[in-house]
Amino acid sequence: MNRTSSIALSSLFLLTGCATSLGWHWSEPQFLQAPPQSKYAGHRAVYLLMERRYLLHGYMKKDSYTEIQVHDVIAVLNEKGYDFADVRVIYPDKDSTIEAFSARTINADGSVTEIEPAWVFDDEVQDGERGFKVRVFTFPDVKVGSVLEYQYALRWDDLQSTMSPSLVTDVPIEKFHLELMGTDIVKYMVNAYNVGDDARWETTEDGDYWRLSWTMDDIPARRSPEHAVPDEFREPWWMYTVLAYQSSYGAIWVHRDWSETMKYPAAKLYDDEDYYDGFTDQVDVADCADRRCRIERALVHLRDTYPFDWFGSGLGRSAQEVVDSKRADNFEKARLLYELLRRASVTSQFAFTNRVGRVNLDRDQPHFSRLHHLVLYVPAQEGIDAPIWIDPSCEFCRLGQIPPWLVGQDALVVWPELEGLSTKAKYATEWRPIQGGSATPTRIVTTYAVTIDDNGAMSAELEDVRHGDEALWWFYAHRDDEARTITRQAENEVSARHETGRVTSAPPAVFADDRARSTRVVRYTVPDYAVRDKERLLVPLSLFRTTWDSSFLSAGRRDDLYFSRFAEWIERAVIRGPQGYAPTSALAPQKIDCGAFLIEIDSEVQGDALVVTRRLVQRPGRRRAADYPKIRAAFEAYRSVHRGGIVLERAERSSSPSASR
Amino acid sequence: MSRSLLGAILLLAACRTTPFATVDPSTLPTAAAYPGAAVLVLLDEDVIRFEGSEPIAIETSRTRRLVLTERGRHAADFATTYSREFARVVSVDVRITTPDGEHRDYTLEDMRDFPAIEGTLYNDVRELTLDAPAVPVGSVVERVVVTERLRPTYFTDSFVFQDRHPVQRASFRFFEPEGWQLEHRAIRAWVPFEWAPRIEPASGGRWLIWEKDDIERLEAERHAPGLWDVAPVVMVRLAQWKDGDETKSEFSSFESYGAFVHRLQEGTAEPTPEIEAEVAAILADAPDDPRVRAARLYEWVQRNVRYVAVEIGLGGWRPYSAAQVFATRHGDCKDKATLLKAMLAVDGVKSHLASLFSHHGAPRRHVLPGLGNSNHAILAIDLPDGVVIADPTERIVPFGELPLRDQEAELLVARPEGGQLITTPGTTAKDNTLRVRLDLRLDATSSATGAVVLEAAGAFATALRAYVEDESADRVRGGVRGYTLLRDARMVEASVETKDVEGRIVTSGRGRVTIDEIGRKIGDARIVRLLAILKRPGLDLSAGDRSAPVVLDKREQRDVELTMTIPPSWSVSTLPEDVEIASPFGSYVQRWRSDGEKLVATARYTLDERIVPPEHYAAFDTFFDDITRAASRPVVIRSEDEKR
Repeated sequence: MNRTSSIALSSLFLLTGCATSLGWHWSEPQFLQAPPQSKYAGHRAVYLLMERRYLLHGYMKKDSYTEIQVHDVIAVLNEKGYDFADVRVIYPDKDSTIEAFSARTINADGSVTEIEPAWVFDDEVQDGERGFKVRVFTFPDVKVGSVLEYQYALRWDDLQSTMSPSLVTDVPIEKFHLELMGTDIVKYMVNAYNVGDDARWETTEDGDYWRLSWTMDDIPARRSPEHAVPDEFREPWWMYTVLAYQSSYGAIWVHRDWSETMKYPAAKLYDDEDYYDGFTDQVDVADCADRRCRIERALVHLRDTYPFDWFGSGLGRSAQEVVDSKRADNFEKARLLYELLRRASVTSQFAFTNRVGRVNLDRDQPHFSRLHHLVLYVPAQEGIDAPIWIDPSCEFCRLGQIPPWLVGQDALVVWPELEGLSTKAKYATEWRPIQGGSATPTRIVTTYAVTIDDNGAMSAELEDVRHGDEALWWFYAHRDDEARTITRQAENEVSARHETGRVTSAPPAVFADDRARSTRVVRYTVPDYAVRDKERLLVPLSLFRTTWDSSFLSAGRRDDLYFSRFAEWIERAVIRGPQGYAPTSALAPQKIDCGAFLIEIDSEVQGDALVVTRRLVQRPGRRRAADYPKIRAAFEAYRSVHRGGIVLERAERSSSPSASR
Repeated sequence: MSRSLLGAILLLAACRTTPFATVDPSTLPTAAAYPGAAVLVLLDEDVIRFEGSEPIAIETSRTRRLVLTERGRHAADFATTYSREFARVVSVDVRITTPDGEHRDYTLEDMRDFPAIEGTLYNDVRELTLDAPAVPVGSVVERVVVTERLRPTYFTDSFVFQDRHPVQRASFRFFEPEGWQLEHRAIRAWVPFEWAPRIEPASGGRWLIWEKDDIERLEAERHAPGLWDVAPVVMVRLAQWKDGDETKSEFSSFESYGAFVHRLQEGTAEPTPEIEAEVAAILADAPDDPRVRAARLYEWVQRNVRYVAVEIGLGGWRPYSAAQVFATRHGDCKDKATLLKAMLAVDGVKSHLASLFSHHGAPRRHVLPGLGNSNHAILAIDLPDGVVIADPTERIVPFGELPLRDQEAELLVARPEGGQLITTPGTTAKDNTLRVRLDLRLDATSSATGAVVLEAAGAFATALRAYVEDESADRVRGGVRGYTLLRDARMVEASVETKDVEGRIVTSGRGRVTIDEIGRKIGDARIVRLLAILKRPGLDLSAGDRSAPVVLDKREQRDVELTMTIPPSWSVSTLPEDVEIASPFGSYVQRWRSDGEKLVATARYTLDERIVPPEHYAAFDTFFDDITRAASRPVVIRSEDEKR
């Protein structure tokens, strides 16, 4: 989690009545000098100051509001930085207001030009019953070296209950300043992540308001190296949540613990009586001997009737919309499955979680917006001896198996509980480890059946068999492809290996019934693939190709690496020469284990063919940047196959193959 | 669909409360009849009536689509744009009829209505979108949009008689009131063709109707222009109307349209004392040559006025004043052209704003006069030795050259006496040249180091400068590397400079490269192919038939000379034969020579044609195939050391 700085304040005093507002000021002159381009080579602009100030003002509910003040000072380092001179401000809703606004350009000669009202445009967006406003403006007299300064304050009704912005932008920030100010009825929690030891927190009280400020210097621009650790685990960000509001009746706790924060989603999941309107599906379980059979029937029905439609957010669409569209996302599938099981008299409970490596979840700062995946927990009951975890978005998982994206994860199980004489449900929560057998592991097996003719032309059949989640992703991405699209993909794939290649056939992929396996075949020819050299044919192995052939090419690295899952890639080429030719060289066997990866290379003669195999196993986890040279060296060996070749000679001349590298 | 059914649907459409036709699912075609299609457009219809002495147009667009496969499941999604100044969307009605006969209806209130400010800072164009739920296969989606257009006399109405989906019936219907006059043209790929409308007399006037049944879909293809540039299009404009007994018209020709635009822009290019002072400063040390002086002013506007577009109503055609553009240092294409016009006027040079359709390779033609013919404004400058057409919106393009998107386009020059339609010049392969000289030394492990020198002119020079300008050393190295055409090389150092070579702006780059491995080592041999070292010229084209022309952005010539010094113990055992490929589209010449330690490859690729019609596609594809195959011919090098 790497939470390096945190603060939680409790200020539950009695209400007092005077409102305040955020301060307003132009920057001090020291922030108004553009640094030279050489200081930020490669960047088009730099934030000299990025300031965010939040006022959380709450008395009675009707008087509550949130105000955010944005204050940016940006130096334009070259003409590409001009895009910072056009600004679009989006208001959170139609009733929000812009309380203050000013913008100016400061040039190196000391001239200051404030923006004219003629260059500020206000407009509205209408979205069904919702709506919001936008303000658009552009700075005058912008040159390379200009400093652009603007500030505005937006206000909207209600108190913001959570915020979790990233601090990183695509240009560097010299100084970041955050200020949170609230009336003393708000009990809150703020944490900052991945900020090192530089963050300086200050807390003060100002009459009836608390004030928290925090400054961070020199935040580098966002970097996205290959196989990077996900942003939330390495880039600075912060999170604010309201724990409670004080009312005249006492404290109203909202996000103090997970049970409280899950009240709203739990009520939507368990008590929304209208949600399943239009969903009349029922699974025939008459001949099922036990509850496991009922669950399996429900899963098959769900997979066949409402195939997976990628990972969604929120709690999904209404059941009627899902029924109409005949597809469902992860949340929708879980909700439909829950209902199908209920109708089949199987008890289940909703459980929130995150897929591996997606969210840097701080369990000490509860908020349901931090949970992006929904599964079902089936507690032990008659016919089910031990609890079962079900992720219905894993269409290749068998009952009792968990998908690779949940291995090692915990889930927050939520269930309704009646307390005492109350007829209204309360919701209990508990974090539990997700347990189950492994689903079909991720594996891609590519076989190239290759024939070389006398002229060196190659006929090849590429068979690509994907297992586990890779089969599901392929199904998801390509199930609706038309023949022309499939041919184009095959052409791209072949031309990436051999630019002179021509696809002769590319039938659609075939999916196994449980979507745990997809098989795809591409047939193609390549003229002049092998080279005749007197009595020999020199056969390149450029047909070997995965995305890994172009990975880890850069010489050095300063960022840690991250691999989210266990996966295996196997390529096997079965190469036959013209009549009378036999292989005289083979590849020396190699086995390299660099921690993150296991690489195996081998070749053997099988009858009249030479079989060359390259295998790569990826192990999940975070790897230190210091491990990079070892990984890179391993991939140099991996690439050597793709870069090399074999020799075929006339049989009467050939002897047994000799290993070479 | 039968005519009588269509008539019944139209009757239903007249009634606001029931705008939809009744769909009998049993009569609908099946997906098997339309292989490969995701959606069948049962009807695509546009009906336009004019009303009033200050005419407005009432347009009713109706589409009915049948979802054939899962790929068509988002057929109910809908987006349209309208200008608040020129149109009012009266109603939108969408009905989804699922295969089991259930209806789901949506109206304007369910739509998202937001500023469509893409490409501009701000304008008055709004986008209306409906994010409808996905619909099951077999559903029919019907949509009726009624729009009131406020200044129809400024614009031309157009209808494209083809779609990305097959169309059962397309219909474009205009009501021409008695005594009014509609002018119309039918074009295909911007070439006019005869297509007279069917005339149906009606009370108070007559209907002009263009209809077409069973239209094949036009698939999206690589390097193809848009639907508009390929499909049959009918264009109609209101040429004359009656205001009482008086006959009125907005413009009768491109000449009068040009005069209208000139009036619209009048008074915007007046120099101010500040502009005069700036011109004096810019030209303080300039020679008397008017071309050089004009070039200096052009470059100043290019570099000192930031592109910002604010276009509201006729503001899309009327620039901000030169004074304002000068003060704020920002403006769009016509604003930048206007400021340049004012600055040139200070120096005594006359110039004229001119409009064109800036394209992606397929230039459009002016068909009927009206405001919709252009999307870009530039300047025609009257210099003593002739007119120079200049586009000051471009940051990099030198004075006297035009960016590719402005070339070969019809340009309407707005002069006080009227519009003048001319065609902007194009460029030949000799104008857009890239010369690359690589001198590499290979060591015993096949890795190579060496020097590279390149010279780019025309569009290559502009693109290279645009890539490296304002960039860090990393990006400069990356830019130069890209233009060396090398596939897998690291630039150790690189520099770029631009100079005037005999009146031609040439950008040259030089640097040092390293390549980890040249050639593929198999046994004691190394196979070297030009294709493995250098990016091949040409395109990734699909085999098979083609519906649309192939459109490339430029004609060009690339010359490569690759010299490799090989280790003394190596010898060339196989050298490919010389290749000379000639075709109507261009040519390719490749030679390999071996001279002891030196292995030299030269290749010249020339592309003379950049728009290839579908009937020549197979030959064009073969041309590139032959080049690729030639570049893949192997050189075999043997190493005596490794033999031993």
